[in-house]
Amino acid sequence: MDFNTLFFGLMIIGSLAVFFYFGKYRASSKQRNRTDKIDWTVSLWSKLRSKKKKD
Amino acid sequence: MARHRALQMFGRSGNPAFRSKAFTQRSSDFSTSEVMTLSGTVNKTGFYLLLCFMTAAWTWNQLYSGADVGIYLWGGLGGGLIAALVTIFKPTLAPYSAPIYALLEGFMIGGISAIFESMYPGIVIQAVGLTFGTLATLLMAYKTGLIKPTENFRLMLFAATGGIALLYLVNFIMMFFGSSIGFIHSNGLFGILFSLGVVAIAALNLVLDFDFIEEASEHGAPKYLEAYGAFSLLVTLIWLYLEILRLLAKLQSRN
Repeated sequence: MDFNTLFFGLMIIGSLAVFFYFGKYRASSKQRNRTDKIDWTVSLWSKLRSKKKKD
Repeated sequence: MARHRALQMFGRSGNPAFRSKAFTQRSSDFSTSEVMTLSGTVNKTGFYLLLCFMTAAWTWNQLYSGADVGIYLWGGLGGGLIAALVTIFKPTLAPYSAPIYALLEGFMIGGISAIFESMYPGIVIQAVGLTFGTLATLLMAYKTGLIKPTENFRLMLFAATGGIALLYLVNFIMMFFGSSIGFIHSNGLFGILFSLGVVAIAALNLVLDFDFIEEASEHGAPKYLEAYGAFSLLVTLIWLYLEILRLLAKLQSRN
């Protein structure tokens, strides 16, 4: 096994481990308790349309 | 189920946006088994990645055994597009259409990867490593609050992603007339900078996916959105992988 395969192989395993482990935890309170969060309840289209109407 | 139908999305799957009614439905509206969870989404993402890997490995082996893989490549691309459109416009079908999308995209990715590997040995494992490395790094950056997705961030990414899509579409149409936009494929400085920019935009789309998944599961969104969230992540990952593969190929072709 050459160095390229070993290095990137370990990178894949490590990254997937991080994803499957930390992906299941909630984000930090710093992330969740922001006031400027994305409002996913409003579509970007309707937001752009309402902005256009205002202008 | 009627309530679920109220849920509508728009745009590219990596950037789903919800109209007010269904997203704001609380977990109390559903039984616990019907509610989206973070772990459910992560598990589904893993399952779809596995499906994608299986068909990719199959096409890869076919190509290396000398078989013609054109039908898998184009079939995977066309079928994957149809499955993606079904998932985007009918999210309630995501638990069925997303695995089909993963399987079909695997056929395409396996073929493309094998072609690149035969031209530049060792490139595929580098691209896969960098893709998952980016996924893990951005996940940590998002979870710790280092990257904060805001409305402006979403708008900027939407515009940038739309611009790239338009550019690729124009290039695709030009190919029918025996021409193309030169710098997209060039291995010169501008071509590499363009690829780097596209990789960065594809990577930042992952942050939007994380935010959508986090918010939807926190609001107790319906269970089928687990499949939709995993599908969004898969679409972005496949895009990111292909762009990284192209960037690496450009860099290696300079040697």
